Amino acid sequence: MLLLASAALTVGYLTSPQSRRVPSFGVPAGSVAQVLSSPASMQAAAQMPVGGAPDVTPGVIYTATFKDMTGRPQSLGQWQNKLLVINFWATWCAPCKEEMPIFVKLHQKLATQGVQIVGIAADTSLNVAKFAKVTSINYPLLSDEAGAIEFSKRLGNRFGLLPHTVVVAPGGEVIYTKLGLISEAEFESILRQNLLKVAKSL
Amino acid sequence: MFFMLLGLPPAVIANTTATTVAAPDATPTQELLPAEDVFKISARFKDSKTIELTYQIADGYYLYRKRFRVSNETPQFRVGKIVSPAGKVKQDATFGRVETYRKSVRVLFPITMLHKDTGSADGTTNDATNGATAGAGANSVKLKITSQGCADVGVCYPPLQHDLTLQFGSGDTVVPVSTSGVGATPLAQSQPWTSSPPDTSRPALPVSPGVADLVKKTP
Repeated sequence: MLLLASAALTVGYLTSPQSRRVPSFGVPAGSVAQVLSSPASMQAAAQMPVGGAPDVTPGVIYTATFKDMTGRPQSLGQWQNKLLVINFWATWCAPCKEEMPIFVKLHQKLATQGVQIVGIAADTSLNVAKFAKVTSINYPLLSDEAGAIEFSKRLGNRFGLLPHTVVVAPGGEVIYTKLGLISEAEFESILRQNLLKVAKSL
Repeated sequence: MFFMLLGLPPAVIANTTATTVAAPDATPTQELLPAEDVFKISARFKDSKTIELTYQIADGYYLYRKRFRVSNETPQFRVGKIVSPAGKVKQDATFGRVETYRKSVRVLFPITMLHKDTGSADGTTNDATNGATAGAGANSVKLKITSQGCADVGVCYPPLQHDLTLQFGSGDTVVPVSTSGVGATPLAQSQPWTSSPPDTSRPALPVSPGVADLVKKTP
């Protein structure tokens, strides 16, 4: 756990909610590079940008629809007034499930303060339902086997890697993205910081 | 602080926007490779009944033993179950005991020709050379090979699909005619997100009790 948590420390970018900037405007794709730290064993690998700037409008985000565990479509638009945390994951992704207890904790701590965490699985709703049965995830788990990866790519995840976590401010601005495992303390701090900013800007 | 405690190179951000950066100062680090450059596959007929897949895996990445799938797109052939060597056992917090491959791995699966009247021979009764020379196009075997792996830095690639075409019985080594992520469907701008039909072909990986507990016990 420690190794995984330490290895994938990736920092995306954090914009000020006050700017109310639409991420896809004025930011060339790829200008905001997400870079993963790498062990010595990867030094021989060729360089390739992993991440880029999100290429979505609030409209795209809030009309995005994924299946819940019963197969019913759920739109992200229902959370447009929340500080929305989208965590892309899959049942076949070990690091993804490694960090899910962090989201469980954060959901407990911050859900009443305006944070909404949603897990979107690049998986079948059946697999997600099976996973949910043996765990106690306390936030919504949605899925779309192919669509989740594509949506994640649109949010700057060039290779469709998992886990990928995105924070969307109320109104649809993408204010933070991260590939790899989040750090609980860092991520909670980011959420709290943006909750304050969002509250001030309203 | 977190980075320092772990003693590993911290992540770095290349930020060209005039916005807040949520990262400490850091030295540039290596970036990840696209999947097709990480997991390089080639295939050949090992003998008249067996196809051998060879994966070359870049340093810092690994493949899961239980995540190979072969889909045969050629009706006159039948492929059998994949035979893979024992991998390195890894205790995964989520999956429990899993086996992974690094550097390279060779996996095999049987293949037989169902219809002898297609110009070739059944691999069980004829040698590879006869099968390869008896007829050209009819002897092509089209396969979709799916694999899935991750990087040591703690991210996983979506299932990777390689399209291969081999000449039945030929000993030639071939490389994919195309490579794609399974989830890589084109995005329709006008229809942002429509759900794909449920696919029950991929079974859920088991969740180890330990991880279930971990999640359950989280306050």
